[in-house]
Amino acid sequence: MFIFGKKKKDKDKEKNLSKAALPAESAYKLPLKLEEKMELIQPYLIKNDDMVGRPFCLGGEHEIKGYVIHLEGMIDNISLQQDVLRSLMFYACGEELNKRGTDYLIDHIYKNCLNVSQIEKVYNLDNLLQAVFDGFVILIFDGISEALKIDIRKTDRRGIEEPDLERALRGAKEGFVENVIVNTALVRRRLRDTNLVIEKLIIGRRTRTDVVLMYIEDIADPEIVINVRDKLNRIDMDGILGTEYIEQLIEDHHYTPFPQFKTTERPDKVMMELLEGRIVIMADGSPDALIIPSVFNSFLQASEDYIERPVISFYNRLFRYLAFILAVSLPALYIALLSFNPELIPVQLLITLAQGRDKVPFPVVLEVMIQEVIIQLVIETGLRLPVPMGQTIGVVAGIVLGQAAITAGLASPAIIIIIAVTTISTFALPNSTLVMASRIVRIFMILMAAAFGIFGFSVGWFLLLTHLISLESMGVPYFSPYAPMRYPDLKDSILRGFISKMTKRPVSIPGQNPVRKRETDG
Amino acid sequence: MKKHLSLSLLFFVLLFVCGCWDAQDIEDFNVPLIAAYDLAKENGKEVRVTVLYPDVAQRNKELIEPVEGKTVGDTRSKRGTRFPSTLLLGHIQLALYGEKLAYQGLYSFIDNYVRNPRIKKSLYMAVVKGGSYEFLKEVHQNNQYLGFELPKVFSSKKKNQFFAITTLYDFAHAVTTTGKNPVLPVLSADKRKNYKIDGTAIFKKDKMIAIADMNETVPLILLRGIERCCGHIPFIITKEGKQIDKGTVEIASQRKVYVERKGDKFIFHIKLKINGRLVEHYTSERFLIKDANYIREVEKAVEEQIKRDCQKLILKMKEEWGVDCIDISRFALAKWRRELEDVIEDEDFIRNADIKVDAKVNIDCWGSGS
Repeated sequence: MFIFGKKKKDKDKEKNLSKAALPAESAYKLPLKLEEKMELIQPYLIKNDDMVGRPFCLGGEHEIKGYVIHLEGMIDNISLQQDVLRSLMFYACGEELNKRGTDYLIDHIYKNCLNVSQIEKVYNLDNLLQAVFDGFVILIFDGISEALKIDIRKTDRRGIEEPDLERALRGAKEGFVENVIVNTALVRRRLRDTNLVIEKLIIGRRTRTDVVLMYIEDIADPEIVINVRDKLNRIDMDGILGTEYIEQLIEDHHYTPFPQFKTTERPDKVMMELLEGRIVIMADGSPDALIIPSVFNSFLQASEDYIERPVISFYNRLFRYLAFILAVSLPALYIALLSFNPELIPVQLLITLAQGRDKVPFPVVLEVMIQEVIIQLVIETGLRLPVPMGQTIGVVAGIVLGQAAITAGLASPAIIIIIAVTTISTFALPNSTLVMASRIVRIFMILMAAAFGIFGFSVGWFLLLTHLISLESMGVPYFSPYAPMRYPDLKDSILRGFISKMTKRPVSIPGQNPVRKRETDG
Repeated sequence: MKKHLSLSLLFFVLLFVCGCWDAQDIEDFNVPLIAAYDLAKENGKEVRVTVLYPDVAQRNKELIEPVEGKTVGDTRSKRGTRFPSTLLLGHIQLALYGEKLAYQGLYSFIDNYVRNPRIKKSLYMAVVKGGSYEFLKEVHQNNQYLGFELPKVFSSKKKNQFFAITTLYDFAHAVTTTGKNPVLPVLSADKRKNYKIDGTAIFKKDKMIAIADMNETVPLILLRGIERCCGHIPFIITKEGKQIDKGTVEIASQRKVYVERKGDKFIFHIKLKINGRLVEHYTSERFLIKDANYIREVEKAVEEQIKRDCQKLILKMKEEWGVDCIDISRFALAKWRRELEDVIEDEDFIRNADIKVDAKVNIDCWGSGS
């Protein structure tokens, strides 16, 4: 089996840790005496009011002093009292340890006294302080240079709910939360494969955000895994907010409005993507998983596509493609036809449109731009306001403002319909980042149509397609399976073939094991 | 500096290339639906172009604007001096030509349509008995939506009428192709100022030479073999000189032409394959036709009637019109192009040709109930 650059990975981890460590002046090896250790830690305890410490003594006749340090609110206090302090103070048996020497003490505590699973030794002050700020509990003892780092972290998190942006009519209703540990568990629970690799990285010199890299070792392409890991390790900035930052930091094309990596809040979707040979990145503090590589086609697919029957999925996908085309082109087409090429409009419609526009004082281009600006303001307002207020604003803008604009002769009925259909189409797209992209591209198409009419509209689409074809997502052609044409993948493009016939993994996504299913089954 | 200069240059290039200067919104246009052409004066040196368009400002109203000029283009510039809006010619649905103008020839009046790529080549053409302006004015009094309705007479491909439907493309193609001659429907207004199709204009290239009435139009359309032409044909069955039944059949016809040559004589065999259904017959005791032989009688009656009408028309075509209005010359041209290319348009060619018609009627639906 291929090992994904193991040595390199270890080196990178070390490098990453050292990068993330505190400034060099505090890189001391821990002294033996507790007082000396406390002298080093004291400045941090004074500066940070949420850093809590208390002294304790090990149980038995021969007292061995110790000190516990942790951050307030970051750990499970009950576990600290019952599983750590109680064990140490009542069951550590200092006299026994005294006979065997202090060197034995730390191993004894490590192996016999503490009934928590994740314990690690810490040897220097840097790592000790870092562990405290990472939310671990630190135990230091008099006469022992090593400290113990105990993981009983507990953070308040919201419950697992259905993601708002990716609601599905059928299928699982679970969504990711902001805790990366919970998120990885959600994926693990669905994908119990021994080859599922979950690598933990820490990114951000100061935020020290936990980042997880997931892939299935015998399916994912090793080159892409190495590439992604390298890119993650190269991130050297003081802080990242979540996967959104990582997305922007590792993408190849910064100026395009199109997202190069798909994000999802659904564990079932992540599982399916992993099975297709993709790599997933999750970060603490972000409920999104980043799917690498992603192709344009995948942004128009929803998770329930694979749950519904093929014909229904095909029907739904067809409408999503139509929605993208309408979202990008409808206002531009309206301008091109009404201002440049009215011959292309059927005569009955033309007369109706002309009569609707007769009292409007603005040219078509300006009318469209005004309505576009209004609708963007309404969308922005609705997003930021609480839900009931946002709905009210939507109703006011949609019905009252639209009707008033027509009555006042500031807009024609047709443009209200055009903008409404465009907005509905925009939000029919299943991916929020593609929604944003379509809004930007729409403005570009409007300008092209306003300047050059139908010709400009055609050139706009030509440029758009050229741009999409030129993009790559982690080295994978963004517009495949359409360009370059990958015929086997067409059965999961606009079409969605029968699951029983999808025996191979997508050709567009490089991988090691192309066979998904035996043909004789099902 | 160089970058700024390049960007400025690009901006100006885009600004001048930009077509937004040519943009004109639809409310600034008048959209003529019907254009009518007449001779303005008897000498034929001036033309009167009338357009009928819906008024954008006042809904439910159509306006008729006649303008006279030396040429069609001249009428357009004169129209600009009288009316504020620009004409959007791309939506003309129907072009009407006055009778006198049609006799003079239509070539110079379709030239502007053929040259303009914005004008659709599928617009319908018709000849109007009398003047087309007078026709429009008269008929419009009875029909406020004439601009939409009249073209629909042609566009909603009639299934129960035999009349010619000719588009600009068909006409231009026939005029410019050796061995072909166009026909146009003829419109007229009745006493109650309603429009009707009143026959077919026979053209020799772009010049009208005669008008066939509606009785002649049916065999003309059948003989021209217009694709999937269909309609209703009344029939009468007589026995021993006595009428025993009458009724109507709905038929669809297909034409096959075979041409042979005996010396200088060209013999055309036109075979009409007609399928249809019995729509009605008036003999009450035969409400349910159980005897299939009776249908054979109907078929025979229709066959004979069609043959008779076709031969009558062919005779008139050869003797009076002297032009191939049934579109058969091209079959001979296809076989003997080199010999016939120069003579096929001559009157003698069609006068000397032997044209035989055979009709085979098959009525497979007669409502027998079986």
